[in-house]
Amino acid sequence: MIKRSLITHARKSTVLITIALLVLLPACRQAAADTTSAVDTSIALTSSQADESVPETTSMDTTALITEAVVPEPENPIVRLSTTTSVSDSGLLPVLEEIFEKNTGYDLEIIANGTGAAIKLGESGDADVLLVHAKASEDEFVTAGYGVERIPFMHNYFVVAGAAEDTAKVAECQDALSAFAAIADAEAPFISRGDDSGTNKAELKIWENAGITPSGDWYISAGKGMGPCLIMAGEMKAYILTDKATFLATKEETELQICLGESGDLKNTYSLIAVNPDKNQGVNSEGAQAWIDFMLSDEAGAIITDFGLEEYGEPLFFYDGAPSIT
Amino acid sequence: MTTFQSVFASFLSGDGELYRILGLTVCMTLLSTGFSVLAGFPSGALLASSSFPGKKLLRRIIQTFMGLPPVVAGLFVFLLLSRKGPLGDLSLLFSLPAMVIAQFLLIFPIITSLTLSAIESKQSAIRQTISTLGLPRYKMYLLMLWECRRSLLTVILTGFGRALSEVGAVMMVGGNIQGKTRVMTTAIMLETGKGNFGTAIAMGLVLLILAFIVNIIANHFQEAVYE
Amino acid sequence: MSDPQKRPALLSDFDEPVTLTGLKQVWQNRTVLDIPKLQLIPGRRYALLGANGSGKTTLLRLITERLSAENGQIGYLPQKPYAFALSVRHNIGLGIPPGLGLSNEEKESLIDKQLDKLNLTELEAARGNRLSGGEAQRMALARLLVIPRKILLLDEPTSSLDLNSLSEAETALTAYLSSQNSLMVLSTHQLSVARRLCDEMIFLDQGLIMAAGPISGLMNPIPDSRLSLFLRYERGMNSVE
Repeated sequence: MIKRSLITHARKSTVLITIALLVLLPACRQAAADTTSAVDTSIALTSSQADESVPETTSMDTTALITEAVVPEPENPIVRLSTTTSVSDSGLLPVLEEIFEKNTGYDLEIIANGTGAAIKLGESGDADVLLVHAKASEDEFVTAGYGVERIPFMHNYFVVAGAAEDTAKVAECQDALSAFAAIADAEAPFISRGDDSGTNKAELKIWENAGITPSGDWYISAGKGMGPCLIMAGEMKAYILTDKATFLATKEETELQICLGESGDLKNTYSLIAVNPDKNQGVNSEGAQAWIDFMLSDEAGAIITDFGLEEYGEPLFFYDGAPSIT
Repeated sequence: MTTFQSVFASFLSGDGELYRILGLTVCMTLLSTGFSVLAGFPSGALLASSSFPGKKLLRRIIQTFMGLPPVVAGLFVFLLLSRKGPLGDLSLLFSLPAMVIAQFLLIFPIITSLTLSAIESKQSAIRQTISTLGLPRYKMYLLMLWECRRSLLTVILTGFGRALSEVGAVMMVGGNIQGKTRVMTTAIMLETGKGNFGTAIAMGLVLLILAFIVNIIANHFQEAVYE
Repeated sequence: MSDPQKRPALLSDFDEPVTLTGLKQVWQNRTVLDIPKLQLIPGRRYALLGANGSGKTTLLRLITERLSAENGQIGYLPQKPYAFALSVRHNIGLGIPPGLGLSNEEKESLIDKQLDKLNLTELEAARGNRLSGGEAQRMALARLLVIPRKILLLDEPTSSLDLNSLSEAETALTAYLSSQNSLMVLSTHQLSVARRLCDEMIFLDQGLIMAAGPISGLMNPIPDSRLSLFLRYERGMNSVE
């Protein structure tokens, strides 16, 4: 009797394991297929780029139509882009990534971190190209030889966001300095990134210029990314310095308002930096250059300028393109 | 390497910030483990010594919750305590109590399930003996827990280790606020995000040492209790 | 639990005979016990005899389930009593229910008496789980006898005792019974023990009562009955009879 129950148990488990494997196997195959089909589709479409009315087709169909030479698959197809959480939280990159991958056949891997780590990845050769917005750190990076060249290409503005109540009356202030002073005076809750990020450094600069050392229970140093900090500000009805893009992206969730909009002292510039291949092994400088070329192209410019227009009624980023050579 | 040494140096010299972080970590861990044990021990003992229809199912459910993903627990507590959530008025989000609550959700099933397993084997013999002695129920459970104390000590350590190493849920509901909810694990994440890998590693080592010390203390207890 | 015969009968004053009916247990398609009616008279000492597997333990267990009393009026000594990892003194103390309202001194003196009676005084502080088999059995008996109880149910209490411990245990038990006049059901397969300690006997064979009556009935069993076969077997096993 014991023997019989053992056999049925064994049979049951075999059936369950087989079912589990059958479910998981297609998932693995799908993942593999995605990467290969992406390359297939890109090859197919590159050859037909001249004709803009080419409809979206599957890799199977277009490959069958190709008769001319196609763009060769790049030798090292993976381009590692190291960027900051603010950029990632705004939602801009996936849009650009899709077009880039279609156009060039590269596979873009986006790694988002705090500014400090994002730059560190460039130093250690764990990334091929950077997209960050902390001028001082960027200059250091290039001077030390880790980066080839700093290419500022787009900007937006920081804004001071807060709850609708605006207890410190920031809306009546003219610029960032007075806004921060008002907040400090009222000891209204203020959330700082506290993580040496580009946004954090900009915030600290403003305190410095205003001659205030923020301290006390009202000044909250949360070591988190821009999105999570905004959510925290929404929860605690606190003020926060944020880039407009991430603010708009999380506006619905946080129910915050812009208390102080764009002003001269709140400009936030984004730059591209190719990682120097001479400092580390395995850096994909062709891929990095392909990304930079794409980002400086008109196509990318159009995408960036349009981004967010429909959803928020205003652009999230202002495209500058390649810096003029003087 | 200098950041490495500087972290240990500042730690040994009594640097306020690091002590605060460590203190918060120990406080949070002790609280979550403590509450989980207080609730989990009797629950496990009770489950071990009762039989009722659906016991098997309940047991499976508890075992499933043992593997509850921390971020799921964190998300749940976050939504619960958020201003828009049902318990928003308590203003508990981004505080130590919130972190303890989230950790409790994670650790209580673990403690209950492990206690249940530990007591199961001995419970019927004990119950037989106790059955007519006229002892109140809680005394019977206390005796069961005492008899299995060696396994239970391991259970406590397991819970403690889990609480100490938790980062996802704690980050979500605590917010990693400096001086208020920044614990070792979230601080390590922050330093890593800043690129201060040396500092992060040093803090990681401090955490390991803490876990090691706890284990030594626990072993001491085991020896004492054995005799 | 809705069957009225199966509900525990409360014993507040155990002066009347208690009748239990429908004592039945089935385990894996085998009928382990089937006793339609059993009458227990206060003050009597029953020896429960039978081979291993005849249902003695099951019967004792069922009796404890059917009778319910407060404050330890029923004492049950299982075949393998559990020795807690506490001092022997503490172990024995567990036999004193808190509901009796005894003072600490009274409790201590009761425990002292048992330690003395069962020759456990030297082991007073020893850990219960570190005792030898015989010592643990004596300790369990002490736990049972530490307070007066109306009913004693013992499952093979002397089977693992050596001769010295056996005489101590029997003396303690006899003294207890004569002073308390409790009902006792003692299961054993040692005839000598049965004869010394009990006055009635119940013989179980494969879950059924095959014979019951005064202990003297063991002298003249019905020839070729299951009982006589059992007795012959037991006598063969223990040539000192």
